[in-house]
This record gives sequence, C-alpha cells and structure tokens, in this order.
Amino acid sequence: MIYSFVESNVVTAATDNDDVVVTLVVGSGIAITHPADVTMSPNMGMSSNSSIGSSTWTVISNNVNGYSLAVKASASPALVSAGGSFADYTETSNGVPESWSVESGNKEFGFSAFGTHVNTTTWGTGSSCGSGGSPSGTLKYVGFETTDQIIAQNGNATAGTDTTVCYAAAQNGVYAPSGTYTATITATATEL
Amino acid sequence: MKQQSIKKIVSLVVFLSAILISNQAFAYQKIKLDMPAQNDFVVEPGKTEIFLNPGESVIKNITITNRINKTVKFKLTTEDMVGTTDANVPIKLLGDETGPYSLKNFIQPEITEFSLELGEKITIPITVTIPTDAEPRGYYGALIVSNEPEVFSEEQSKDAEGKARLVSRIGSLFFLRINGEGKESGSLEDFKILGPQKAFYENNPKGFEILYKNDGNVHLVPYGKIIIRNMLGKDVKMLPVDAYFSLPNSIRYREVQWGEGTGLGRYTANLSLYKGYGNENVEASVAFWVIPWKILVATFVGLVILISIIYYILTRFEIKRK
Repeated sequence: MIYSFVESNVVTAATDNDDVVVTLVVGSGIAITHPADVTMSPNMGMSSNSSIGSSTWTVISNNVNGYSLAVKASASPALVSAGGSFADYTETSNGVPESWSVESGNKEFGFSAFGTHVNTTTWGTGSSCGSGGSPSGTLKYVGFETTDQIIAQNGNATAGTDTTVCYAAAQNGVYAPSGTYTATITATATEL
Repeated sequence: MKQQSIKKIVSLVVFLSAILISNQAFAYQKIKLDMPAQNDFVVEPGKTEIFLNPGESVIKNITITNRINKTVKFKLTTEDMVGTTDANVPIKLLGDETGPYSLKNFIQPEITEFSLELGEKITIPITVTIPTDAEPRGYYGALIVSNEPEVFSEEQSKDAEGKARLVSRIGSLFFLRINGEGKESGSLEDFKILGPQKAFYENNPKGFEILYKNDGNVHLVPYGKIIIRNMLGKDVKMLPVDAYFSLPNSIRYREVQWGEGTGLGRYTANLSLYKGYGNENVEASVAFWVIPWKILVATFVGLVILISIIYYILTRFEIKRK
C-alpha cells in the first residue's frame, strides 16, 4: 500500500511505430516462338491447282497493355523461284481480306489468320486453313506486303496466345513452272 | 637489378591495362540459366522511355533469353516507328523508311550479332545519343531482335512446290523526349461501351472503349479510372485504366475489360482520364441498363405458379380445427 501511495503513477512501456515500405518493380517483357519453316501441300502441278500451309506463332507478354503481332514478306511478289513467281493475292478492295478467289489466267499467293486475338470481322471465322489443298471457305485472305500487317492484338497481358497464319497458293487456267517457290515471312511482336 | 624492377612494373601496368581495356570493350554479359525449352525467345524490357537534353547520351540495357532448344543466331537492327490515325493500329514499324520522329540512327547496340544456346541470357548495353541540334520534340524507334532464318536445301521439285521461310522478331520500343520541350496536346475522342450498343444488357457489359487523340509532337501517357455507379449513386466497381502510350499525330484505342456478374437497373460508367500532361483530368460518362430478363421471367413464372397452387388449395379445400 505504501508502495502504491509512493508510486502513484501508472507506468507503461513506451511504444513507437515505424512504417517500412516494401517495393517490388516488375519489368515488362515479351516472348515469341519460332515455328519451323513450312512446306505447302500438296505440290501443285498439272493436276493440282491449289496448295495450303500454316505456321503458328505464340506470343507471351506480361505487359498490362498487351501486345501486337504483325507479318510481312521480304519481297514483292512474296513467293518466287528461279523460274518464276506467284503474284501476291489481289483483293477486290485493295488491302481488305476477302474470301479466297483467283481469277482465270492468274496464279496467286496470299494468307489469312485465325486465333483468339485475331479479329474475326477482318480475317473470317474459320479455325482451320482448309483441307485437301483447298483454302478455307470461312477465312478471308489478302496478299502479303513488304511492310507490317497486324494480324493479332490484345489489350491485356497474355500467358501465351497462338496465332496461326494460313498460306494459300492457287493457279487458275495457267500452270506455274515447276520448281521450288520460296517466301520469307517475318512475324514481329511488340508491346503496346 | 633496377632495370629488372622497372621491366616488371611496366609488364604489370601493361597487363592490367589490357584487362581494363578488354572489360571496357565488351560490356555485354552472358549467363547460362537452367530452364526448359519453350521454343521461344524473350526480350526485356519491351519498352524504354528516355528523357534527354540535346547532345546528351544514355545507356540502357536490353536482355535477350533463348528458350529455343538449339543454338540460335540473333541479329539486332533498328527501325523507326509512328502512331497511326487508325485506332486499331497503335504503332507501325517503318522498316527501311525514315519516320518523321526518326530515332533509329541514334540507337547503338554494343553488338549487333550474337548466338545463344538454350537457357543463355545476354544483357547488351544500348547507347542512345541525341545530337546537340536535335529538334525540340519526341523521337521514336525500335530495337529489333530477330533470329536468322534457316537456309533451304537447293533441291528442286519436279512440281511447283511452295515453301515459307520464317523469321521471328521482337521490337523493343524506345520513346525519347527532349527535356522541357515539345508540344503536348491530347484529347478524349470517345468513351463508350465495348461491343454493340444495346438498349439494355442482360449482364454487365464486357467492357469499355476509350479513344484518345494525340495531336502534339511528343508522346503522351494517359491513365485513369472508370467508376461505375448504380442509380442510387453508389459506387459498385472501379476499373483502372492502366497507363499506356499515345504517339504523336495518332489516335489510340484502349479497351478496359469488365463483364463480371450481373446487376439490375440503370448504371453510369464515369471515366476520369489524366491526359498525360498538365494537371487536369478529362471526364466522360456513359449510361446503360442491366436487365437480367431471363432470371426475371423465370422468377415471375415461378411466382405465378406458386400463387396459382396456393389459390387452388385455398379454394378447393377447407381447413377446420378439431
């Protein structure tokens, strides 16, 4: 009792707070696959008038604003051999993808695309490149250019999205000279 | 004895100088990581923003990691880029052309060709130098990382055989502004609901579209938020509009995703967007109705059936107390 009279003040331990801010910076990056080179099939000749092929690129990006994927050819016309070339596909409305059709007397090479981030209004609703050498009837085709043409785009990060490019070549009323025709196609992915 | 000491000192100085010079000449670094093959290669960062005074230079690093299950030869090149007035084409790489905001000749990677095995990561210094007489505006370009295409064999087909040789590239974008200079000018062109416009929506809309126009000569970085309020004025959702770039003389389309769940009644989506310069935000709003009519119809039909059953029971049976 004497103690409590003498020591009348309540004693408490002093406290203090100190905030520490922890920061983590996550940088953005982007990845693109490298698909194998393509041999179109079947070979064209006197009894086969069209040929198709495909390649699939996968883009991964943690960029919050997404990515863009574009393709281009190294030359115009794109598909050439030592003995000749296929004209780049000619659209009814220049640069606007359309249902595949090659006019009589022509041989042409073009492409289409499909995938989760491919605009179906522009490129069609198909999910395969066709069969038996015939291009898909539900995709829309356009000729390659030597400058980038965007085929896929997304406004969010992606853990891996496939975009398939469908190649198509056809001859109508003419025969392409025999030989191996090659096109160098470049796909470029960029962050947005 | 004295001559031998001098010789030793000179040899040591020459040896140390050689090490120092060799380190300065090859500042890129290559390391090997243990990683599974994923048939791709990674470039980091995907975008670099730089602010410089005329005549200054800066060194930025870029990292390339090979995840392809073979040794790949890579090449570094530079291209200019521009924005476009097509809202669905945010950027366009110009290839061999020179752009109006050309940066490609000012970007110098330390090396331009190298090979990487699976799992190897290389960090390469990139020097960006601006001339002393640089115009007061923005400069935009990309460092292109590409793999070398394979070489086809020379055999010729008897038929007409088509082949496509493929090259994969990544463009790491560079945005440069001269400090304090440049015409900053941007405007919100449109803010609307993503997809077809409807009288009412069965579920919450899938998202919103923002159309932003940059008519200045420097890039801008707008960002903001969308607050969705119900008809009682209560905030029900906040959607962030993450910062994104808008190049000069371009229109950029930006999509903000939503689409979670459903609601009932009239809502307004209120956009508050910082234009990327100045101190003001630009505001816009769009109203929409959410009427989950299938649920409402099913509920109504259920109630009608229940009431009918109750009415039938009450009118056909008499309940008496014992």
